[in-house]
Amino acid sequence: MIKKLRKGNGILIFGVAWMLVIFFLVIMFIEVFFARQNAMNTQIAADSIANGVAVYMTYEGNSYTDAVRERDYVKSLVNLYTFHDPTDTRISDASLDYHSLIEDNVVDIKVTGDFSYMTNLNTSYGENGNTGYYTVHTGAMTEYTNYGRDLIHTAEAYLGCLYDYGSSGETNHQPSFYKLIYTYADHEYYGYGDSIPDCRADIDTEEYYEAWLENVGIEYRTEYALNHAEEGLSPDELNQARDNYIDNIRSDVEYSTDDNSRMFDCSGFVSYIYSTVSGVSGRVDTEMIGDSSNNDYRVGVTHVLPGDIILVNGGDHAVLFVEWEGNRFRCIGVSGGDESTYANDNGSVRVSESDLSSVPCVKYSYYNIGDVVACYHYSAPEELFQ
Amino acid sequence: MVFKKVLTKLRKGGGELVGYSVSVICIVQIIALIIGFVQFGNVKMRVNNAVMVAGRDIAVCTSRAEAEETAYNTVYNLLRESKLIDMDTLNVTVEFYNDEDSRWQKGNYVVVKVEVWNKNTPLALLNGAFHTQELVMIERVTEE
Repeated sequence: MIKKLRKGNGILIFGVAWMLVIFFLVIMFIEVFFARQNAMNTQIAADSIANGVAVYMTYEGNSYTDAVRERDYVKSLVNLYTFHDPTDTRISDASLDYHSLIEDNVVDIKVTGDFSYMTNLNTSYGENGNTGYYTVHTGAMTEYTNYGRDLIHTAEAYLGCLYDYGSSGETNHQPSFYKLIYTYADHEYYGYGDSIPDCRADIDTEEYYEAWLENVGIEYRTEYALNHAEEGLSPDELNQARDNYIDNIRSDVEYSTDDNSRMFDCSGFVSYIYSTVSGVSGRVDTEMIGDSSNNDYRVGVTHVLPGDIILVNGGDHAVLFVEWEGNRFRCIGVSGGDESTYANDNGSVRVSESDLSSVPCVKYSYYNIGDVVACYHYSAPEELFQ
Repeated sequence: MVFKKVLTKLRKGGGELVGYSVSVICIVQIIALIIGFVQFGNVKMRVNNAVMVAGRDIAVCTSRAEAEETAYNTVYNLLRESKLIDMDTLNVTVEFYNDEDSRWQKGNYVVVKVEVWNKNTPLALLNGAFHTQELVMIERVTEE
């Protein structure tokens, strides 16, 4: 062997060895090339999925389950349109917890790509000893607005509540007893006509209510009995019908003292809703909302999210953003009133849906982009009162 | 006369010279292959990175036309310094993933696709057009 090498065959062996080295060198570069491409493809897939889920959670997603569903949907689209096929995608459920998300605002996602065709490099990229996979751990900022939807749902419960300048829910509107009687009784018979007294008149007192039950009510019961005597009701049925009738009036008076009788002005309504959702008591007026110290929370009109505060009408009016309808902002707030407005002038009870457009009260309203002065997004509702 | 001398030398063992010359050509080709893969890999990475950045940019655009313009400008600025890319062939498109719902509105998905021509790599095999694309969800709400 040594003799043969001495005769020159060593050059052949050396050449073969050298060619093998070069061959493996080429293979290594090719593998590195594909490794980089695969890693970038996985990164792109992670980017698409994380951003898709993050955006989805800002406008429609309500839970971790929704996020997982959207993740699977985006993953299928990624596979369909970009031909990347992540073997596994996981979203951190902790990061999508309602409260932690308020703090973090991050969709935390791991996307794993398969490197099955280059097993000798897998151990370099494997996670927790798992070979054959490349895992990208990434996060996407999100403005997850679960509390925004809470704000809207809370606000919608007060639709129809009346306007009172300077009030922020602490004032209850006491409906006129006259109005109640007017509503339930034959107003022509009692001669009330179309003249409904102001609901703040002294006559609208609890004492008056009791007096009415004792006097007018009894009178009315008697009249009711006379008017319905021909209907063939038994005495018991007649008494029951009369009592039900009176109870209806009584229940409406009692109704007036619950949440539905609260009164607000525009910023008072915003304060009340934010306070209710956050559990932090506070009151801000429109000037405070638009104060320069709140610039940290100011967002562009195209970034506004449900529950965000929008200043319109030259900055004098504050409403809550609900959703987009075409190019218009659909908002909820108290509008239609001014400094002289106290509830509804005719002293009515809580207005009905059909009356919302003409009565100064809590209602939906629509604004164009040009009407908007500023939009404010708080990452937590209690921040409004800081 | 000279030719005969060369032939004589070759007959006397100059085959080593010939073998070495052939080996050098092969080695150069292999090195070219390696350099070609490295260059192509870098170009591909640059384009992939440009697609990711462009995808983030167009997510907040307000219309498809604006998105295509933004994506093109972003990709162009990121790739223009590369001597391995023929910028004249740069083609950037933004297409809706779903033809039935081609409204530019929040929640819809678009695919941003970048197509370029790779040039000047020592490995002719890798010269040519290639594309990279990314799926992006629209974050803006309406087309104005």
